Amino acid sequence: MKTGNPTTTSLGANNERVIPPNGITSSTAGADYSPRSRAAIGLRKVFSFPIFLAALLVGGLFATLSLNLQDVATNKSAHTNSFVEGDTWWHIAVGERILNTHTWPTSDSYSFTAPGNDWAAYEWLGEVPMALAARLGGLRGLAALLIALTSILMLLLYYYSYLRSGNVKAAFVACVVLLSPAAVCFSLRPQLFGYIFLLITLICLERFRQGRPRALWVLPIVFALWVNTHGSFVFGLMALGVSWAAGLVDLRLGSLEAERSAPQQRRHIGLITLLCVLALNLTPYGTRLAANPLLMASSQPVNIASVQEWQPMPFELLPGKIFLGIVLLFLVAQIVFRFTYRLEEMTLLLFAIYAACVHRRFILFFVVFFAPWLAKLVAQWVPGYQPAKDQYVLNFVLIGAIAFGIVKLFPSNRELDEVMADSFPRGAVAHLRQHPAPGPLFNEYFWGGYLIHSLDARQKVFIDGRADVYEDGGVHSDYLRVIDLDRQALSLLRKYGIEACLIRRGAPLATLLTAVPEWQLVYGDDISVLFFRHTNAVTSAASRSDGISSLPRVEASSGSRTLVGTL
Amino acid sequence: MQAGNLRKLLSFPVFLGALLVAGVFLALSVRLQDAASQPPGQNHPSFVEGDTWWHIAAGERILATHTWPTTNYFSFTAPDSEWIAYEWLGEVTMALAARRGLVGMMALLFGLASAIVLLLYYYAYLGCGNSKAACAATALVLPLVGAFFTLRPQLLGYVFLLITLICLERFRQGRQKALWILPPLFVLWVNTHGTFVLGFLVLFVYWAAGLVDLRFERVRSERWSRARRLHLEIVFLLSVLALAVTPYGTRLIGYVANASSQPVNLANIQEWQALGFDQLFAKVFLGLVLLFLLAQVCWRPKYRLGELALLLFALYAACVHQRFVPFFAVIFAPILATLLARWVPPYQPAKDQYALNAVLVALFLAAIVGLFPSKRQLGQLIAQNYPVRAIRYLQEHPQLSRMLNEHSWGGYLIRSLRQKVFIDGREDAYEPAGVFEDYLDITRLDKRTLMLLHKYDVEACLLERAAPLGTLLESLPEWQKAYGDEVSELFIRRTGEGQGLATADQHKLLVRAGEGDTRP
Repeated sequence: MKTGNPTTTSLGANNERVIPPNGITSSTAGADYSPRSRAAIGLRKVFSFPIFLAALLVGGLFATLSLNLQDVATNKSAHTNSFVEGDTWWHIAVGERILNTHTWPTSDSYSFTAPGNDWAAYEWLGEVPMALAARLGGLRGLAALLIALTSILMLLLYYYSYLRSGNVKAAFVACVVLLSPAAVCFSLRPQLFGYIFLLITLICLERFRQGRPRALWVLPIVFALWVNTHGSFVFGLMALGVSWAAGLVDLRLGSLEAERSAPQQRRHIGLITLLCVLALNLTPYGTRLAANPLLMASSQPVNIASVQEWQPMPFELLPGKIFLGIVLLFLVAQIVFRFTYRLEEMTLLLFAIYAACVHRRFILFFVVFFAPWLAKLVAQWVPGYQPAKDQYVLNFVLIGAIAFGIVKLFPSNRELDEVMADSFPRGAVAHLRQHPAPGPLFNEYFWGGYLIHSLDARQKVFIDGRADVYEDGGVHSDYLRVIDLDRQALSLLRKYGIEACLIRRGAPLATLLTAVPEWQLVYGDDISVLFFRHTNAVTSAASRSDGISSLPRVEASSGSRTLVGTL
Repeated sequence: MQAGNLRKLLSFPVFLGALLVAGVFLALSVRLQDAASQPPGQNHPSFVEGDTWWHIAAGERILATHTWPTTNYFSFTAPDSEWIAYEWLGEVTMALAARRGLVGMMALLFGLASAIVLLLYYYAYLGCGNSKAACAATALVLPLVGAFFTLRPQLLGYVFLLITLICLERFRQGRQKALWILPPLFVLWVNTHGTFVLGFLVLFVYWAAGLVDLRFERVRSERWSRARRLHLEIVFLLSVLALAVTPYGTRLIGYVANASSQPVNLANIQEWQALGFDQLFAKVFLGLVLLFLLAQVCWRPKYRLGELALLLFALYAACVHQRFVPFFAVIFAPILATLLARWVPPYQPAKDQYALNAVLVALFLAAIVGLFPSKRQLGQLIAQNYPVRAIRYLQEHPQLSRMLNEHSWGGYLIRSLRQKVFIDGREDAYEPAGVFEDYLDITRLDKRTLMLLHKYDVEACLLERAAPLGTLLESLPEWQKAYGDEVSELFIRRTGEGQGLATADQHKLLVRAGEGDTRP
């Protein structure tokens, strides 16, 4: 395979480039290292073409996120992910609580359907930064955190792809191609931290493989942070395990290769893995956080069957079609070109394809493992970086322009607020603040987190995105039965003593409650409708045609349409 | 010579074919058992599906009247809509089988499924030259095709597709006469099912791949000689001309093209949806694709340009629309067989045990005949998924003519109740008139639900037991539940006075409420 990078001094086992540990290459060896020239070298590195490509990648990411926001604003869908999603809000609420009380929750205090149920803040270390961002900057703070996390993620992906392919331009192209499918997962959640840690783990493993044994010592610390941040640490352990196992055999099967590791290397990676496993206990909850991903996979069938991100890849939608196109491209490339694969990279790649097909939420996992391979493919045609041809001043100007553009075009609070209003029941929440629900409130699953964050702590929710809290007691099943208009829907509402329902405009339940005399529509806008139970249910035609309401009159406000009276 | 023929008939490859047929029977039996063990009203797939019934009804009408329909006479919601029986030849075949009752229908299904599997086995054998590998490959893709084994004209379509592929492969291997079957085949095909489009696709790909000489890594293509290319082109042209040989002339082609591009149909009918990997056959599909991927890396097989192009298209089509999974299986089987042939030793006639083969084949046949489901067993399956008892009730109360029904029951009601329905599986008849969209709005409890029921003057609703619409109707005083069993419920609109607001007034209020109107 063509390498193309004239700064390379050696090739690895599979003809891949090995970057010298001290960064000194043939082009820099023997040069003048006075302070002034060191500064010049440093500046050249900072404004080099690879750095410009990194800045361009961040600019492209920002453009993609901005387009997503516009798309949400245009489609006005109550369930479309923008920079935040339903779960973001309860994450922030939990983070705020931890910051305020300096304690970690051990039971549910946000719902009235599962009060006191055993629950842990599994992702607390991701929730605290989210709460801080909300505290410091409001919506703009959240948007800034999202851009920062996704930028770090993409830059780490870029670097990882470069490490594996040895070609910075090819790495850039791979990241650009995969940006669109990856962006499907780019909403503010602790999951983003998880994927950052995954990329750090893979980078460390690759550097270790390329002859830098110290790279792995970072990992126990990474895992100590990771287990407190997101359940994706399981993938990190998988990557470690597969890398160790692949080093047990010598294999040459077609283009698939494995090289038996030296005993010292095997012991090193085994020791690191052991330390990482031990690090999983370093949580406020002891070993409980480490066990959570397994519990989730094995004992939450309702969650996995009904929550959208656990559903199979949607090939009818554009992200699914892009994913399918990429997999087909991969298949064709195996037939048309000759690649060599390490056993562990092929294992992880096949698993990533399977995982993404079966559960759409793993598309980002697929992107992480696929990007380096795509970079290697592109590297066959793209010439490598040539420092001699670099235009540092031009790079500096362009990087500055990109940074300026991001700052200038950063969405305002008003724009973010409008996006929020198109996805979350802001108007209904404002109404509820002025006219609290007469009793327990039934809410849409997707809005539960927003209600937790926005309403008074006394107004608890029926359900929210913490599906693990609600599965055991059957609350999640009951919720689905109500929302799907099971024959017992109205009985279930009575069972929970529901006095108010906040649901999506156009939902089947809204049609039912509109028709049933014991429920009264008290608020409606483009996104949501709010019903209160009419305690003196009117059943006669004369009463129903009276039009007199015993509930407070709601004034129409801009951007919303409210209803008064009974049916 | 007679001994030689007998040996061929009782050879191991034939035994493998019989084994595959036994496998088909076993797969169908397991599916029927599984469906029988499910709670009633779950709409679990069995040997028939919703569309089977209107196909039979259309076939029966053609046999009885000797005319081909041009309007939708089965429904009261779109009675003047254009509709043609573009699968009439398959429907007549099904109607003839239905004259023998449920057992006749099951026998036809088994016959068609066996024909598909045997043709697939032969096609895979043609590709790899190894009958054992071909059998193994066919067995591996059987779950993919088996998931679609319900009685429909589509099965005949796949029989014709396999015949086309076999003829093309034999032609490619030097048997010139093989292609002359295709024009008459397309005459039958265009009158049977829209999969004739796939037939043209494979013809075209075979022809196009032979336009170039190619040696690129593991992809090969050999240019056709002038004579063979001309032969293909003539057959292609004759097959195109054959498309006009229908009772509707060329109108049938246009209708099929239009029906395949209706947006509401494509967005809402399950078989047009993308492949969902929560189903078993989809997981088998995914497993086969991943193994195939791995095989490219480890064993680096070679491909012809045409077969590679068809495989990639079939893979894409199957993922985007699950109804094309059998198409993928058909294209993939010979490729898989060629791969397996690396490890599976070929058939050796010298080691064959003809007597043993004869005994085993006879045993298979005896088991199939002995274990063939009875009329009673099949009837129980029907009763579990279709409103059999509700229909008896309706036959005793024939004044309910304008009845909303479940989409999946429409065909069964057409055939059993002999009255016009609100909707059935012929979406192409309902979509242009907006009926399909209205039906979806009603069953999804759009805010216009009650207004739409009023629009169509619906006086009764026959619904699945757990249907959300039933929950709504149950809570409304102007609707009364007249009948219910484990499968279905029947709601009838009350017609007496003093039942609350006048229906039309209430509907207007409901619509306004849904739109956020500020008027009280």
